[in-house]
Amino acid sequence: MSEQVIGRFVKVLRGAEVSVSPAETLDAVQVTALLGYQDREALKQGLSLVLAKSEHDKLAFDECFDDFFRFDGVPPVAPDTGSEQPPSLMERLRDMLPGQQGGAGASSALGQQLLADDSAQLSRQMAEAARQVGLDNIRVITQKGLYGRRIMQALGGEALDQEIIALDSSERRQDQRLGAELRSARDQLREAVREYVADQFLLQAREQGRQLREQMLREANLRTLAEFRDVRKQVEKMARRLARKHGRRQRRARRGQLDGRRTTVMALKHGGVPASLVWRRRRIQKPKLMVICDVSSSVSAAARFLLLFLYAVNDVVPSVRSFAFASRFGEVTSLFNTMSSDQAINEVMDRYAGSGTDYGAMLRDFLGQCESDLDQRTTVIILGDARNNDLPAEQQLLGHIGRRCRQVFWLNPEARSRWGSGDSVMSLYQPYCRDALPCSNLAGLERFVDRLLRDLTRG
Amino acid sequence: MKTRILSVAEVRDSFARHGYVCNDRIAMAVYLAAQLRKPVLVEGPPGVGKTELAKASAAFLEAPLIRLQCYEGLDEARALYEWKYGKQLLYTQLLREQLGGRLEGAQGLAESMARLGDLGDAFYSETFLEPRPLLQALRADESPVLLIDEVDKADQEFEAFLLELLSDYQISIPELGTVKARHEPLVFLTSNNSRELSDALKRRCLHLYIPYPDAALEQQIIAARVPEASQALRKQLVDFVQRLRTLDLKKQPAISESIDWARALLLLHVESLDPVLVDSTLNLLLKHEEDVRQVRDDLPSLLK
Repeated sequence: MSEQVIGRFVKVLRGAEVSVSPAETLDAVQVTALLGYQDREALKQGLSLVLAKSEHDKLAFDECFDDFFRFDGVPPVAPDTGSEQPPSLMERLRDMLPGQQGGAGASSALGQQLLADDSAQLSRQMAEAARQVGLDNIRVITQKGLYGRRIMQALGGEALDQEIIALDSSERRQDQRLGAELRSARDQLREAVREYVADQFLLQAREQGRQLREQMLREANLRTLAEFRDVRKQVEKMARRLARKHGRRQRRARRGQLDGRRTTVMALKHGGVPASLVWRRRRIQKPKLMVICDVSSSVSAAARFLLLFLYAVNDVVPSVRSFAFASRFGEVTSLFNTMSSDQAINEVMDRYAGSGTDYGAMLRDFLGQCESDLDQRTTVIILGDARNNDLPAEQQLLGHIGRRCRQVFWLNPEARSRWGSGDSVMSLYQPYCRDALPCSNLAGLERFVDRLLRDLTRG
Repeated sequence: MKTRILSVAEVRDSFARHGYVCNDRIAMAVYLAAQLRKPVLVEGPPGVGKTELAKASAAFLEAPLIRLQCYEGLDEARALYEWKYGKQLLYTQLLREQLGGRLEGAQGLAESMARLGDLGDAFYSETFLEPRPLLQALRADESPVLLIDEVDKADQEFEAFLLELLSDYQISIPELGTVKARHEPLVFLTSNNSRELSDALKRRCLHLYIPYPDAALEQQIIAARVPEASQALRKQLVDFVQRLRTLDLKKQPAISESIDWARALLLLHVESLDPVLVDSTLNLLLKHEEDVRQVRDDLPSLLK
C-alpha cells in the first residue's frame, strides 16, 4: 500500500521537475513506515528531507504534497488546521452523494450503494476503478471523457443504466420515483468521477507535458522560438548542464605528470628518499572567445540565443568579447558587463539591428579594431547567413583572421543545402573556417557549444 | 552514545535545553538521520546555525564530535590518513644495523629481496599510520557525530571520495584494505551553496534547508542565548533585524549576528533601541560598508 502511494507521489514530483532517484524513493518508503500517515505535517517534513534536495525543489515539493495527499484520502488529522483545509475528496463526495435512507428497491449493486448512505465505500471503489482502468496513464485533456466513462463502467454503471430505464418504463408510481432518485444519484456520481479524473489529469499530465515541451523547444526553429516565454529558462538549463560537464574537465586537465626533477630535489631533505612527490602542473590556458553576430532581421533570433548561451557558460569561458553588426559594426561587450544578458541582448538589437549586411566590410572593421588582440588562445565565432547583398566577399580577410588566431568557427542559421544559393557567399568563406555548422535550433546550438567547450578546456 | 530516540519532540526539547532552539523541521531531520542511519546535508545562508546543529546533536546524543573543515585543495592525506613519513625514515635509519644483520649471508639479489619483502609490511602498519578526522570517526570506540563542514569549499574530487563513506560508512585504503566503521557515525555535512553539490552526494543524504528564522523563533533563540536581555528589547531587536532582511543587502544579518548585537546592547546597558545607538552599533549587524550606508539612510523608517 505504502509503496504504491509513494510511487505515485514520486511520479507527481518528477512531473514538477523534482528529480527523484529510485534510492530516494526507497528512503521515502522507509520514512513513511517510520512516521505513518497520522501526522500530516510530520510526514510532509520527513518526506521533504529525503525527496527534495534543493531550495527550489522544496518549494515544488510543498506544493505537490498539498495537492497529492488531499486526493489520496489520507485524512488531514491535525485537528486545529482541519477547518481551513479544502475538503478532502471523500468529504466532497459525501456532500455530493445523496444519502437517502432505506435504499431497498434498487436491484443493481451500484444502485444499492448509491441509495444506501455509503459514500466512503463508493469513493474507495472509485479510486480502485481508476487504478483498474489505468488513470495514471492519462496524458491529453481530451481523454478525460474516455477515462470518466471507463471508470463509471468499472463501477457497474451499465447495470445501473439498465435498471433506470426499466424503472422508468414501469407502470408503478413507486418504481418511477425510485428511477428518478437513481437518475439524480447517478448524475451526481458522474460529476464526482469527472472531477476526480480532472484532478488526476492535472497531477499526471504535468510530467509528460513538460518533456514534450522541452523536446519541442529544442527542435523548434530559432526564429519562431523567441516568442516563447520560458525558452530562456530552457537555454539556461542547457547551459548549466554544459558548464558543469566542462567545468569538471578543466579541473582534471590541471593534474599533470610526475615532476621528476623537483621530486628529486625535494627528496634531498629526507636523505634521498622521495617522501613527497611533486606533480608537474599543466598550465591552464585561459581561452579567449570573440563572437561576431549578424543581428540583421533575418538571423537576429539565432544571434540572441548564441549570446544567451555563451554568457550563461561564463564560468567555463570567462573571457568573451562580443561584436554585433548589421548595417554597422561595433563591440558590445561592455553592455553585457553592466546589464543582465537578457537586457543586454535587447539593447544590442535596438542599437545595431538593420539590413544590408556587408560581410566584407565587417571583416575589415573587425581586423581594424582587434587585429592586435588576436593570438593563439583566441577562438573567433562568426554567426551569420553570409548573404552579402552581392557585395565583395573579401574572403582573404577571413583567411588572415584565421592565421592570426587559434581557430574560426562559422555558425549559419540556414540549412546546409541553402548555403551558396542566391547571394550567399558561404562557400567562399567555408574553406577558411576550422568548421562551419548550421544552427537552426537549440539542439544544434547546444551541440556546437558542447563541442566548443570540450575543445577549449582540453588544452 | 544514546541509541534510542523516542520522538521528534524529544529531540527538540533536548536541543532547547542545550541552548539550541529549533523548529520541528530541524528536529525531524536529526530524528530521521538517527533512525535511518543516513547522513544529513544541511544547507542555508551563513550564520543560521548549521555548524551549531551538529554540536547540539553531539551534546544531545552524548557522543564525541569529530570535525573536518573543508577547503579548496583538501585531499585524502588531510582528511583520511597519512603515513608518518618522518617516523618511517627515522626508523629505517635507526634499524639500519638490524637490517644489515638480516641481509647478512644472503645469496644474491633475489634472496635479499625476499628477506626484505618479509618485513616490508612493518613500515606500512598501524604504528606509522596517522589517522585524520574521517578515519578517526570510523575507528572511534563509540559512535561519534562527524561534522564535515563547508563541503562546498572542497573540490569535486573530494566530494566523490566521500561517497563511499556516506553510503556504506566504510573507506578503502590501498595499503590496509577496506576500513569499515566500528560504530556507524552520525554524519552532518554543511554547505553554504558556493557551488552546486553533485546529485550523487545529495542522493545519499537527507537534505535539510535552514532558512532565516521567523520573528517568533528568533526571539526564542535570543532568549535562550542571551537570557539577560529584557523581553521588550528582544522584541524590538528582532523586529529590526527581520526588517533588515527584507532589504536588498549584500549580506543579510544572520542569527549569529543578532546574538552578537544583543550581547553588545546588553554591555552598553541599553533598555530600548534609538537611532543614535543603532547607528553606532550597526557594524555588528552589517559587514559591508555599502550595506551600512544604505541602512543608515533609512534608519528612522526602519526603527518605527
